[in-house]
Amino acid sequence: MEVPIKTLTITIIFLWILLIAFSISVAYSVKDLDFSFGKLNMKTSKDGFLMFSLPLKIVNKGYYNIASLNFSTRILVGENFASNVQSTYVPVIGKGEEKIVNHNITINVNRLVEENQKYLFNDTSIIVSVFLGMKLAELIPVQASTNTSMPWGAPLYNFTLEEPIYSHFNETHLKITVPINFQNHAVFDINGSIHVDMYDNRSVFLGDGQTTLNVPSGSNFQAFIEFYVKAEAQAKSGFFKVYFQTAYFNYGPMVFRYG
Amino acid sequence: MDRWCFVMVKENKGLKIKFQELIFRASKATAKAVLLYGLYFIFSIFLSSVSKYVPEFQQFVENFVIGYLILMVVGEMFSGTIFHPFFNVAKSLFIIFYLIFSLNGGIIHVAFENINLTINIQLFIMVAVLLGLLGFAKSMLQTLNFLNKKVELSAR
Repeated sequence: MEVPIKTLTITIIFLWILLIAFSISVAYSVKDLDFSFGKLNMKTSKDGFLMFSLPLKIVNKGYYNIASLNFSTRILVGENFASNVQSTYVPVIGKGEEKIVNHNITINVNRLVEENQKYLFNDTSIIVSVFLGMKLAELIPVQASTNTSMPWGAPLYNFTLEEPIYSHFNETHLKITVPINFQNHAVFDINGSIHVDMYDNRSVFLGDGQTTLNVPSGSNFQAFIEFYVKAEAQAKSGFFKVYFQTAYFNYGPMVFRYG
Repeated sequence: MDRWCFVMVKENKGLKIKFQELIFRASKATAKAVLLYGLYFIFSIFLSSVSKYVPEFQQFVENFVIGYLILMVVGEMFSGTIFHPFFNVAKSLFIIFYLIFSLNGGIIHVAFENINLTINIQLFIMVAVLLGLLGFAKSMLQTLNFLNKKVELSAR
């Protein structure tokens, strides 16, 4: 029985050395794994989506291949997800290999402003839930997840409807002009229209007006909306209902009081 | 009187042999412990980068090495007795249970800054447990072998 015991001892020692050496080399390889992100590029789609393309550079200087690399992102608004999971999958990154993959993040602006109107009027940040999964040495699954933030510029920053300016139009009607202004802090241009309904204090509809929007990113917008209301109307005080219709979002009604 | 002297000399010789055996066992245990500690020292150099991110890892390895060293040294001191295979069994069981319980069944969650890291080392645990079981089987064989030899000697 001495010989089998000795053989077994040698086998066990050999296998332990193999297992420990493998574990150490895998752990040591992680140190030589490098992830870096390139410059975020923005594209727009005709169906009202914002598409960000994020170049992800992976350099594997370790001793083993990396398999099933999965990079996923999701936009979080409050506790809800405002986008579907967007994933980028790389089957294998060989040892000593360098790979650059483009990860796309699509933002549905309409869904974002539906969740919270602060994204329309306030400069804030978007929380992006990031997930990275891979198999070290094609065997050991590792997952990392984090929440990171992305700056968000409001498309209708400092939106204001100023006090109405009343003027005589004809015998029966008054011309009411309402100055409107805002700054487009968003990364996209705004093309569309603003529609405003005017009501008096008793919620009686007085008239409506609209103006077209063509506001490049980072610029100010100033315009006037004109209403023609009957002369006998009680138009000194009341409220406006404002509707926005653009390529990226539709929003309204927003109520502004006047008078 | 002569017979009494003969017994005394024989007893002294027996004590001397036992003492020599004890010294030999202690030296063997020390050599093994030093070798194992040397391996751990090299291992810790390689894993210092991991310990930087996962501070608990260093503690985990240290506790394992301390437990294993104690069982190994005590086992070695009892070599040639029935307790030696028992300590070998304890060593194998220690490896199995320590790895399973301290590594949370092979799923490790680590929070580093605002990154949550999950490492699945179930495969490693499985292989380590299998090796532990192999060690356990070896210890059982050693016990059987020891008892077998004892029976053979007493039969003579």
